[in-house]
Amino acid sequence: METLVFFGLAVPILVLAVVVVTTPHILRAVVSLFLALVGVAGLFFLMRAPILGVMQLMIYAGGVVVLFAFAVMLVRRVTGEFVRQQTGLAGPALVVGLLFFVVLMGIGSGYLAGLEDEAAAAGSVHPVSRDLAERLVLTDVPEEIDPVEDFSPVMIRDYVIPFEIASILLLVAMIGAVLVGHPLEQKHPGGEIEPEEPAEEGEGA
Amino acid sequence: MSLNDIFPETVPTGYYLVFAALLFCIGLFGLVSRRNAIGMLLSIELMMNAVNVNLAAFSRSGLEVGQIQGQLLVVFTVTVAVAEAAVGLAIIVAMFKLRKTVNADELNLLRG
Amino acid sequence: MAERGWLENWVNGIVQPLYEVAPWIVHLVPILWILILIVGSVLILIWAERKVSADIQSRVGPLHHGPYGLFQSIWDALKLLTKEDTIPKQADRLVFCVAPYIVFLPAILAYVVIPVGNGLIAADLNVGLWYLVAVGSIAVLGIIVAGWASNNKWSLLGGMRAAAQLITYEIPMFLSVVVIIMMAGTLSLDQIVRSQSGGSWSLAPPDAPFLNWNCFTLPGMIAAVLYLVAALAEVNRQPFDLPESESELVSGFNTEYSGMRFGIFFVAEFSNTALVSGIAATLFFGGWSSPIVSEGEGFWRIFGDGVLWYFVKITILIYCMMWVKWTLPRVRIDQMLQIAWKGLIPLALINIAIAVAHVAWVGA
Repeated sequence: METLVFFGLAVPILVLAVVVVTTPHILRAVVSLFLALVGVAGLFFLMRAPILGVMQLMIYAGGVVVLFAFAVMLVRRVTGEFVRQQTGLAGPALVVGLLFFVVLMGIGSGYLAGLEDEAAAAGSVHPVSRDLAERLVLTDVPEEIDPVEDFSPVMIRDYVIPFEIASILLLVAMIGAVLVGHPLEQKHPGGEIEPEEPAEEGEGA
Repeated sequence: MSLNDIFPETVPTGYYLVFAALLFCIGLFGLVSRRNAIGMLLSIELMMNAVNVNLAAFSRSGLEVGQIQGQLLVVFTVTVAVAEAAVGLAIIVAMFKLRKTVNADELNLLRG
Repeated sequence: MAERGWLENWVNGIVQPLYEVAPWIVHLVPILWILILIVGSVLILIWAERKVSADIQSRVGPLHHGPYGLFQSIWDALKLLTKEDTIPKQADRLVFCVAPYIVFLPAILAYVVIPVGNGLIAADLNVGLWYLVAVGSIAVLGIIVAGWASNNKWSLLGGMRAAAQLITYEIPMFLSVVVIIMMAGTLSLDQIVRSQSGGSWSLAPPDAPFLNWNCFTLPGMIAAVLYLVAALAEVNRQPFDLPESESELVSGFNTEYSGMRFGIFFVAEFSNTALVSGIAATLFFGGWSSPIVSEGEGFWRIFGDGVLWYFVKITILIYCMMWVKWTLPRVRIDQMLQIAWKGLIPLALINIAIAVAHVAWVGA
């Protein structure tokens, strides 16, 4: 039953992802990305990680995609249908993508096979690796994680330094985005600048 | 009523891993084949999401029950992804103002 | 007891065998419940909006269809359904058609976690409140995309304004909600309501249970005001209806929409209004808990905790929103940004500090 739901989400997500990378209309790509991200949020819920699902909805679907849509509007010319969107490297790109997939699958299955061989060869295997291998194919229900009871204490107590660094990173990114997006006044060798009205950056981050 | 009541058994982690690998490779394809910088950023977002799915799946099948380190790692990767998107889009908008183009192959000022 | 016999027959004859064949059918009940809630509230709100506006402007409003014009909304819906559905020639057809549904999506998703009565909640997620804020933030994209896909400058301007406005007002909204999380110590909406309906720690006298509501604490009171102002902006209602202002942008992002696609925008606006009032009632005004008696005797039982009070509260809140809508003029775009960035957000941040003090001294 849950497998059915999994495929019901995974297949549309992959189809939408293909639309994202192939469609010539950039705004359609943004809308497909939005739908795909909502689907991934559904997968997180299915994985019993509601915190990630909610975060995915809020940050990606509500924040990043809106930012993309906003940028598409500011960068008006790219939406014209006459502009070529692809590099013409679709063939090599396809090869790269497929090759990478094969490599990933090879590594994964090779690792699993290695673990199983190890487990079969010696009776006294490293218990950690066998446990991991079993869990990869096993279907047992993980426990639900409560965001207030389980999640936040670990994040604020044990991982407080990464947490603070992440907040500094966000601050730096915000300042950087404002600075870069601000209309430049000095002359630049690259091109002609006419004074433009300042564009509001909708930085929700 | 929780999900565990509706679905008594879960999907094997391997399914999620294969799914994430496919999503990542689609994103990689887009990154190489897109010419427009916004399209390239969109592909990068897809790849980031594939990685997040992978981390969450591994967190679920961790060695201890109820382990949340993988999910915490996703929180931090999402932070980085958001910062990347904000700065990346600001750069694209600034670039468009300067050069009137966002096509990656027309930005060849550094070509020798 | 003829009715009881009929009901029993029905349950034994149809529901029971159906349940035995397909036990998953119980999971359809919440879906049905949410749909009824949305459709019902929208039908009533369309009529109420006309009546309230008429009352405020000293008119009589709809009269002809049904008693007091009650069936007006059904005729409105029929009119929208039978109208020609036009799509501009230069529009991006696919995106144009998808956009209204993206705007409507959060209303459906959000009702999943709203407790309407004691135990009447489709799914009591342990991240409920966070989920609510998250799904509320995805309607923006629908509006932007609708404005863009219409290929019309008014629509585009409306879409740009919507992007600025909705993203801006999400911040005070979330900051005011954070205060409730701090005071309740949980994200589950059911438990937030229960924490307001009296408890062992409660300071309120037993004959005035409403003093337990979050809006009767200092940080909760400020947060309620902040939330309601931000909510007005989030649902694009009058003082903040910049994205669709009729007089300057010819109704903004939905200029090019007609027929039922416009109808979906319309329905989304009204169901979002009901939704934000429901969230406000749940977070600040005790949800379904009763203000007078929590467990009454005899006649008073119907005024005890339950569905009745949820609807009474959202009715009052929606009336206030309509009152504001038909009283205040529209703000300018710079005023709109100023209200948020210079007024609401600093106040919300100070309010969080107050909430910290409140939790530390008074206790959660």
